[in-house]
Amino acid sequence: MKMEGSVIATMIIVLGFYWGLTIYFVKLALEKEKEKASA
Amino acid sequence: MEEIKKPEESWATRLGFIFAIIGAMVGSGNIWRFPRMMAMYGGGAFLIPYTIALFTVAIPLLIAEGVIGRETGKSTIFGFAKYVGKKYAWLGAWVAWVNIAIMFYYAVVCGWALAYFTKGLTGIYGTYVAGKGLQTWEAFTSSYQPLLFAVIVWIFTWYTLARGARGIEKVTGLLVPSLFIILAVIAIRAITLPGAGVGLTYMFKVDPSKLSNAEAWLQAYSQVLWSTGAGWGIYLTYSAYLKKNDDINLNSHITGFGDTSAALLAGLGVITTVAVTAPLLGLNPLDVYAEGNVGLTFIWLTELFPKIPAGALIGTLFFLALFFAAFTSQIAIAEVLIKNIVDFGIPREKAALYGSIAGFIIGIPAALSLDWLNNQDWVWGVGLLISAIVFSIIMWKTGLEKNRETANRGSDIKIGKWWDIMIGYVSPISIAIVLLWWLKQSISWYPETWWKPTEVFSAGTVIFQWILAFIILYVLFGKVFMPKIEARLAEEG
Repeated sequence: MKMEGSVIATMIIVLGFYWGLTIYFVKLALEKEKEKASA
Repeated sequence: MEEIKKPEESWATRLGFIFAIIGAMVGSGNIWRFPRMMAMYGGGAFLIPYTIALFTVAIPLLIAEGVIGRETGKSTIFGFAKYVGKKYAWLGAWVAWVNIAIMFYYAVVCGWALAYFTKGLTGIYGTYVAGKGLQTWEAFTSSYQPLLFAVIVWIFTWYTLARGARGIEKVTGLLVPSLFIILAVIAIRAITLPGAGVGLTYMFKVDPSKLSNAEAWLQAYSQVLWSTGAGWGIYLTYSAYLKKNDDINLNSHITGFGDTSAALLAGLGVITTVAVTAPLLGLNPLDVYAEGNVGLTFIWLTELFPKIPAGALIGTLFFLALFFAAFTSQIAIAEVLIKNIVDFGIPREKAALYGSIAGFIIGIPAALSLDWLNNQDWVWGVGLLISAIVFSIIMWKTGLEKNRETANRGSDIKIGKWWDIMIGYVSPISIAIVLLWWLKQSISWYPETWWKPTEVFSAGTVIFQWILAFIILYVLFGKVFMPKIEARLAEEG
């Protein structure tokens, strides 16, 4: 079965939003921690 | 001056805390409930109320818990007594008790996952026989095995918690990344199956008509509360091992988003596998999702895995992932009990031993009777909603603005006045609505006998057990143990 374009678009938006922000938040936390340690 | 904590009473690294808290919140519900809810309530559309619930209820509640835990360095009973006043200690005991009541049966569920993983090692998920799933499940639950695997889970729990925060950090540092890798392998296998588009369509096709269905919203709010662990007291307890100027706000966001990310990964695997294989057995995938958590996981999936290439391996990995997810939650739930015992002055090793023995013994009925387990899951699952409301009350009592400023101190991202509105108004009101809806639902399940405390899922059993718990906890922690609580608080100044 061929997937509709809207399904693919939703998948990209949803996974991008949740997975992307999780990775961004974790990266930010580790950077901030490094900054605090070197301060 | 920064306070000095014993190594077992503090996190070694920020990443260690992140793995511990994600491990705590990513539990069986992410794997067996979230995918079903998404498939049944509008696919991508379900994520709209879910995301709104995440920001309006879950993250604000996690921040509230973090404030009490970090500021007091205690778990729920002494945390409440120290933060808001000793007469609130019994409300902290309520929060602890709901966790403990869940712990008694959750260790059994964790044991099921471990048992089904070991069954996978025999190659069981590679061969299909009609009706095998139900037959295997019935033979398993009527044997001594649930009890045996519960013992194993409690030994692991004791071993981990006797070492305190550092023990939790070591275990979750290994299991949480492994869990994500296994879920990714299962998801890749599922979405590369011929016809996987059907599953992805179930998951991501936006059906806006479902948004006008109140049930989809109520299920989304329920899912967020049960899945992110907001209002359970776990985040409070883990935050007790933070230092006074450690972050709260960013960690709360990581918890909410990390939990959902794991659920989506599990959803890709579960929804797609069911969508592709169920029609091969002449089943409608939606009927399989509607079978409930246990039915989908332990009965149907065991029959569906043989229908996919490398099914024996994927099935075994699936139950290993379920065990990792459940076990890292099990130790978090049990830690609420152990930390509360430690707060009363009992050494950690002893507290972990006594807590684990009691946890196993009191959990025996859940290992032997599915009715008992289901009843406890129903009563205390809904009871968690009361705990979540309790946190809003504590925030009100101690000042919303003051608590916001406390949360912002040391945090890597700052929260604004929106948090006051969410924790003070939106969260308690929406949770109260969800709570009343579940009780109303239960009345419709037993129109004639809804008031009976002996029915498994009745409103009567919920009200009866809650009232009993409230009375006992008030007498114990509002009266009997009050001198001890006062003495401990005085010792710490």
